[in-house]
Amino acid sequence: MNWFTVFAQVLNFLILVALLRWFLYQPILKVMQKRQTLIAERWQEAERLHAEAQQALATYQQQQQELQQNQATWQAEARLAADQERQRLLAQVRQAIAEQRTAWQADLQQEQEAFLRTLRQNVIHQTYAIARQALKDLANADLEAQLVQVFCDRLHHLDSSQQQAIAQALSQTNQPILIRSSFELHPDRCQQVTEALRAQFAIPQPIEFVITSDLFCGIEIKLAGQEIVWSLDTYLQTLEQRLSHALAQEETSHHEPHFSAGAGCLL
Amino acid sequence: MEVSPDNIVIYAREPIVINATLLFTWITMGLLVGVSGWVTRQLSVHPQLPPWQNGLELVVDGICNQIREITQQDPEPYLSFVGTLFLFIVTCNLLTVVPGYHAPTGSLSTTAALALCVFVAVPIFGIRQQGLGRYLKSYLEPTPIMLPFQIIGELSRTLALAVRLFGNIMSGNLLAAILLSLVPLFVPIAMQLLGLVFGVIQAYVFSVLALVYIASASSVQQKNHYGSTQENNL
Repeated sequence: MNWFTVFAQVLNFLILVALLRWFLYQPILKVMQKRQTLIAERWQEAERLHAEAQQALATYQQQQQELQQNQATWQAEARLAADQERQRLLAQVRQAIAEQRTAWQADLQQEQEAFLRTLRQNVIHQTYAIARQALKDLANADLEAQLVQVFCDRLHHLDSSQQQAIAQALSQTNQPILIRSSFELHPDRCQQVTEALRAQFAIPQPIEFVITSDLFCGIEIKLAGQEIVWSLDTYLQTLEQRLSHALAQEETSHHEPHFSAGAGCLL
Repeated sequence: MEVSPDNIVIYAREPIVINATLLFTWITMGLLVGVSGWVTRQLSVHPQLPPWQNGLELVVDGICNQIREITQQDPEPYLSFVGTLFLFIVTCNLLTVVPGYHAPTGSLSTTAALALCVFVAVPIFGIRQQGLGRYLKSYLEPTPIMLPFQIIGELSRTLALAVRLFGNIMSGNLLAAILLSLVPLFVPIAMQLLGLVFGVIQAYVFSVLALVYIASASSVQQKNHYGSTQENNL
């Protein structure tokens, strides 16, 4: 054993202890300590985040629970609101349909009335023309003359109460007596009517003849609220009533969606 | 055949004699310090570690854990001394596989020097832990008659420590040399591998024994401190 080597080795070992302490142990321990601190900080941060996440999770779960609890209520409210809206819209539609129907019915009524008026005038003219032609062809007679004749016959065959009422009315007025006809009367016919009237009643007042379009194929006389009429009007009124009745029946037999079709058939 | 690297003289100028023991000690020291300095030059705090740093941390942490397990104390005060002891011996022993390398631990001078260091370190750590008076008093316990035996124990302990390491490493090398001359193939390789295992074990044993001696010198203080704490609490 070499003592120099022993002491040199002791010195070497002590130097190595110092060097390794400086280059190895201290840096390694320091970095491990730092890492431990870092990991502890991260762990704390992770714990904090975990706690926050747990809190958030709990909040969301609570919200979800509330949502589920309120879902039924909200659905019921939404359904109710939808029903109310539906009822409102249905009411609007019904009202619009009713208004349209009323307007349509009014139009239809107007068209019907116009149609009947036109029909009535056409029937009058045609009837008048046919009657006039038939009388002329078959009996060699004039329709106006026959009308005047029948009118004069009706004057002659008034019942006593009517006759008395007219006479009383005539005695109380000085106004001229107005005879209205739908056609122009020949002077002979005017004379015939005047004579028939004067023969029936004592009339001091003058007699005037007027042509009117209100009267269809006839003659009328108005005396102090009493009226003597002979015309085709009554026949025509009967015809019109029957047509109106037929149209009304046709209208009620059809359902609402078939209004237009029914109207088309009628018109 | 050279039994000890002390006998391989490289440079001699009385009283300075540079032999293979010193040379290979310096080489080993340079290797240890160089690797440590190179690795700890750029240390990473983040969990993704470079492999070398990971290896060094593993070694240092392993030494710390061993110290903690044996002493049941904070390992830092003992780490430099015991850790260096272990690292130096194990590096010397492992480098024997390198052809031409003579382990300094195969020299009785080295092991005696290390044992001398332990011999000095034990009272130093003891005095630092419990004070000079209390440490000296521990030699007189349980009775002053035990003082000579205590001193003999200390000296024999140091001697045993030195001779154990020297004998093991030297015998390993010698055995490998003898076997190489007798059976040139395979058996020396197996013996070399066995020598590596023995080398690591011897490094461990030397370090642990040194630690036990140092810890036993300061455990009295620990015990007394614990006892006084108990008394204070009572």
